[in-house]
Amino acid sequence: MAGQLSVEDLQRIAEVGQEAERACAGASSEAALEEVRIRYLGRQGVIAQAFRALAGAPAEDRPRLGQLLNALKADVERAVRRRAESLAAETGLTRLAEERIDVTLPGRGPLPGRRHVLSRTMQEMAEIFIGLGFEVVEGPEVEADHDNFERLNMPPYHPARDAQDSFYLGGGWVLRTHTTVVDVHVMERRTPPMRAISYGHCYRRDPVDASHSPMFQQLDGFMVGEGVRFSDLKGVLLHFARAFFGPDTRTRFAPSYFPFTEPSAEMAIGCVICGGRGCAVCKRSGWVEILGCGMFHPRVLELSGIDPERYTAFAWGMGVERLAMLRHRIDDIRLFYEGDLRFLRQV
Amino acid sequence: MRVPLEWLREYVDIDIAPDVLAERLAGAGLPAEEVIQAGEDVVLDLEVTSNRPDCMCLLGIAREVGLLLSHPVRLPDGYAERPRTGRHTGRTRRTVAGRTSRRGASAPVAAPRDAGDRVRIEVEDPAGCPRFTAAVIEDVRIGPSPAWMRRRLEAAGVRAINTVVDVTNYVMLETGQPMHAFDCDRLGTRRLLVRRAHPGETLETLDGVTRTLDPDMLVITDGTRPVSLAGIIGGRDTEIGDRTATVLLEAAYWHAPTIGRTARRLGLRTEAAARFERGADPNAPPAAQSRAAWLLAEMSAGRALAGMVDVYPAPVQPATVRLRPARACAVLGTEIAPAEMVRILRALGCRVTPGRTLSVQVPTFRPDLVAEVDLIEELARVYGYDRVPATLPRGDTTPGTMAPVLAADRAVRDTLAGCGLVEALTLTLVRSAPQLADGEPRAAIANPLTQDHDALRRSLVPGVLEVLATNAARRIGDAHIFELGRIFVPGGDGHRPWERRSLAIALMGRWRRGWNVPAEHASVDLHHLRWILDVLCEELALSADDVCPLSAAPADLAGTSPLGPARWWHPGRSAELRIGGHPVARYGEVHPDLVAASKLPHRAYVAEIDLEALYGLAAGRPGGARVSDEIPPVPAPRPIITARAFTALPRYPEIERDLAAVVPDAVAAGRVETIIREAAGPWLEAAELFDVYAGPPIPAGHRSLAYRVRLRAPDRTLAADDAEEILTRVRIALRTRAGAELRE
Repeated sequence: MAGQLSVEDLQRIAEVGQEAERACAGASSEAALEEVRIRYLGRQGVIAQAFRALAGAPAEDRPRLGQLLNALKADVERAVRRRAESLAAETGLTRLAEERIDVTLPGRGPLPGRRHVLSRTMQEMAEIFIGLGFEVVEGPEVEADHDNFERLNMPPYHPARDAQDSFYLGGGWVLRTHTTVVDVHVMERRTPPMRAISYGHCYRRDPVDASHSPMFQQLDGFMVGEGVRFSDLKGVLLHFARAFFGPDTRTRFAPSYFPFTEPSAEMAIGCVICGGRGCAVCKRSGWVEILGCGMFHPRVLELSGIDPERYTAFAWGMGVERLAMLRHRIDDIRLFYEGDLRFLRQV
Repeated sequence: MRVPLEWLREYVDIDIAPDVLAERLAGAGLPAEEVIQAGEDVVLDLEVTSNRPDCMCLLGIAREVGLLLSHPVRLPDGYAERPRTGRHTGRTRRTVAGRTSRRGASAPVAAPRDAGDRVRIEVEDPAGCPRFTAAVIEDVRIGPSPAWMRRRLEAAGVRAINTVVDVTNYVMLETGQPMHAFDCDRLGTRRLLVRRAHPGETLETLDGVTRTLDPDMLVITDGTRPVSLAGIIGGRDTEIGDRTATVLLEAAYWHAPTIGRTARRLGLRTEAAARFERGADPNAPPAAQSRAAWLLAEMSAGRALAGMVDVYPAPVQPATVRLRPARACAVLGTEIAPAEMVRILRALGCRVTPGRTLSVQVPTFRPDLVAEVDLIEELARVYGYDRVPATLPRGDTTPGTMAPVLAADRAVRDTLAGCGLVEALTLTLVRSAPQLADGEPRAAIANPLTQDHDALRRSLVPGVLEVLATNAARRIGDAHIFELGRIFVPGGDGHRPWERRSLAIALMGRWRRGWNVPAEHASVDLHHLRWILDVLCEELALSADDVCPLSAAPADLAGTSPLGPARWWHPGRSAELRIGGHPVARYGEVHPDLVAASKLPHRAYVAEIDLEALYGLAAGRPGGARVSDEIPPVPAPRPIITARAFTALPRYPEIERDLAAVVPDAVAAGRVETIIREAAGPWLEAAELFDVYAGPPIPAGHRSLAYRVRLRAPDRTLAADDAEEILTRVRIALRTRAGAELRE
C-alpha cells in the first residue's frame, strides 16, 4: 500500500528537515529565527504548502505522506524551539552581563537605632528575676527622708548615712539614695509572701569621677516569707550572677554592714576582667564586689508592720553601672550619661 | 584603719603571710582596701564598717586575728581593763558625785598628791557624757617621742607631734579610746564643766578655725569658756605647747548620736569623732588612762598623780542577749552545733550560759550586739559565710511580673530604636539657671554639690539638645536620639515635686547615609519626626491625626503643662499633637535662636511627648491619669498596652484612583485629608499623599496635593461605578469645603 511513494518524495522530506535544522542553527538572532520559522512553519511556509500538495498525491500514499509531513513539522518546531531557547539564554546572559555593578561598593541606608546599654541591662536583670518569681515595681525618686532612712533603720546622724550623703529638696524631701526604699513601699501595701525588685535613678552627693556619678542606677530586690533563709539569698544571687555573667561565674560572700540588714553581706564575683588572676579592676584580689545584701533587720520588718518572728526576709541592692562596666569593660561611669553616639552605638 | 603588722604583732602572733591574713580578715568582714608595703613592714588598710567601733584599734584587730588564727591576745603593759575605785572629787550636777580611782600595781609612780585635789570635774549633762575621766600628769617633758612610737604612728597615718600628744594618739590607735590632753596651767580655773553649748558660743579649735556652736553640741568648759569640743577636737587656747608643765588627760565616753551630729554639722571628721560616733566602750577610759600613764612614765615624759577622777554616775552594765540556736540555724539555712555556737561566742568575748536558749552576756566594747539577730550574724561571720549552702526559696511561689508602666516603657524604647533612634540617658540633675531662656521654675536642690547640678530637670528637651551639641562638638553631625525618663514639676514651697514620665526625640543631620544619596533625601526634617510619632502612636494603638500648628495652639497656663514652652520651636515649623482633645506632644524644628545658642551645625528637630498622658490614653484613663510609681495592692494589674486584635486580611480586591486637588496655600494638608476621609466613607482604606507641587501651571498662592485613594469593601468586589460614586462625593466635598480645583 505504500509502494507508490517515490524515493524523491522521501528524500525531499528528509532534505527539508535538514535544511530547516541548519537554518535554525544559522539564525543568529530572534528576528532571524522568526524568519526561519515563518519560512517553514508559517501559513504559507514550506510545510503548509506540502500539506496542501497532499491532496494531489495518490490516495493510497496520503496517510503515509501525512504521517511523514507531521513528523517533519514536529521536528522543525522542536528545532525552532530549541534554537529560540538557546538564543534567549544567550541574549539573557548578555543583558545580565551588561547590568553588572560593582558589588564591592559600600552599603547604603540608615544607621540602626539602639537602646542604651543601661536600659537594656536593667531589662535583662529584671527578666532574670522575673524568672525567679519576682515582681518588678517602681517607686518615686523623691522620697521622704523618713522613708529613705528611718524606716530602713538609719536614724539621723547615723554613721552609715555617711556612705549615702544625700541631696535634699527642702521640706524633708530627699532624692532617694537607694532603691531599697521601694521595698518599704511594697511591704506597706502588701502582705507576705512577696518577692519584688525595682530599679531606677538613685542619687548620692559624691564628687564626679571615673567611678562616681551623683546620679546612678540601682536595682534592688527583696523576698519576705515564712522560712526565708540566708542560704536562699545566696542561692538566688548565685543564680543571678551565673545568668548575667555566665555559667562559670564564681561568687564569694563576705560579711558587711548595712543598718537595714542583719546578717549583712557583700557578694563578689571572680574578676571578669582578669579571670581571677589579679588586675587593676579587682585591685589584684581576683574578686570584684558587685552587690550588698542580707537578711532584712527585724526592725525594718516591724516598721512595715510585718511580724519578724513569723516572717524572715532577704534583700539586696546593686549598682547597674558597675555591672554594665564589668560586663562591657567600660572604664568610666561618665560615658553612660554624656550621650556620645560613638559610645552609645558601640555597647 | 591602717594597721602596721609590726605593731599588730605586739598583741597577737601572726604565722601566715600578709596577703593570706588580708584574705582571712576579708572573709570575716574586714576587707583590706590596700595592702601597703612600707619598707620592711606591711600595712593593711582595713575597711571598718560603721557598726564595728571595736575594730577601730589595734587591739580590736588583734582580737579578730586571734579569733581567726586561734591565738591568744596579749594586752599591753599598764593596760587594765577594770576600772578602780577611789574617793570622789568629781560630780554630776543634780545627780551623784563621781569617784576617783587610785591606781593599782600598774601605776608606775606613787604620787604625793591626788588628781582630785588638782581638778574638779562637773558633768551637767550625764546623758551626753555618761562617763568622764581625768588624770593629772606632772613633771611633763615636751619633746619628740621615741623613734619606735613615731614610726608606728606614722605607719598608721598619724603625724607625730610631741610626747604628750603622741601618747594620746598612740593609746587611741592601740585601745580605741580617744584621749585629749589639756595644758593644765592654761585652764583658767582648775574646774572642768561638761555641758551643752550656749547658742552662738564660739570656740577656736586646734586646727585654728573659730567655730560657732549650737545648743545640741557638747563642750568642755573651764567654768567660764569652752576649751574643747567634746569627743571631736580640743581648743586652741589650752593646747599642749613647748612649755607645758602639767597636763590634764581626758578620756571620756560620749553619747554617739550627739558626736555624729556635731561632727557632721561642723564638717569636722576627726579620728576621735569617728570612734565616738560609732559607739565606744564606756568601760575603756580607766584602762586607757592607766596605759597612757604607763607610757609617759616609760618615756620619762610625765608622772601621773594618783586618784584619777572618774565621773560615772550610771555605770553601763554588759547587755545580756538571748539566743535560740534553732532560730539561728533556721535564719541562716545551715546547721551549726550549739557547742560550736558557744565556742564562737566565747571567743568573741561573750559570757555564755548554755541551755536550750543561750544566755549571752555581750562585752561593752561590742555595742553593736544588742539583739538575737546580731549574734546570729556573728555566728555566721565567724563560721564563714562561704560555708552556708546556696539554696532556692521553698514554699509558695509568686508569679514573676513586670509593672505595666515598665512594660510600656520597654515597648516605647524598642519601637523608637526600631525607627533608627539611639537611646541616650542624661543626668536629671541640671543647672537651675535656665539655659533655654525659659524662666520656668525648677525644683531646687537645697545642698547641691556644684552649680551645674543644683536643680531637677523640668523637661527632657534641654538634655537631648545638649547631647546633640556634645556630639556636634565632637564632629558627629548626624544624631538621632531619644530619652525616656522622668521630669520633675516643682510642687511649690516644701511640697513634693510632681514626677512625670516624659519622652524627647531629637534629630539632626542625615538619616540615610552613603554615597550618592541626594541631600534632600538624606536629611531629617519635620516630616521624619512626624513619621516617628505616627509609628509610636500606632504602637500604643492611638491615632495621631489631630495635629495643629503650634502657633495656633492655646497658650499654656503658666508652668502647669508638662510640655515645654512654644518658644523652643520655630513658629512656622512646629505642631502640637492631641489625642482625644488632650495635648500629648509638641514637635518641630528647633527655634533658630536655640540652634545658635546650642552651637548646632544644622537645623535640628525636637519632639517632646508627655508620656504619662499618652500611657493614660492608651490604658483608657485619659486626662493624664497617674500611671507611674504606683505599687498596686495586688501584682499584675491591667496592662497599658493591650494586645492588638487582628483584622482579617482583605478577601476582595481594591480599586485605586488618583486624585489631585489644587488648594489655596492656607488650606492645610491635614484638612484636605480629613475631608477626603469624611466624604469617602467606610470603604476608604487609605488616602496616601504622593505628590505636593507648586508652580506652573498651578496658580500662584496654590498648591496641588495628589492622593492615591484606595477603596475596598469587606464583603464584595467593588464595581467601577461604586468607586466613581465615592470619588464624586469626595470631589464635591473638596470643592465646597476646601475651595479645591480638581485636576484629572
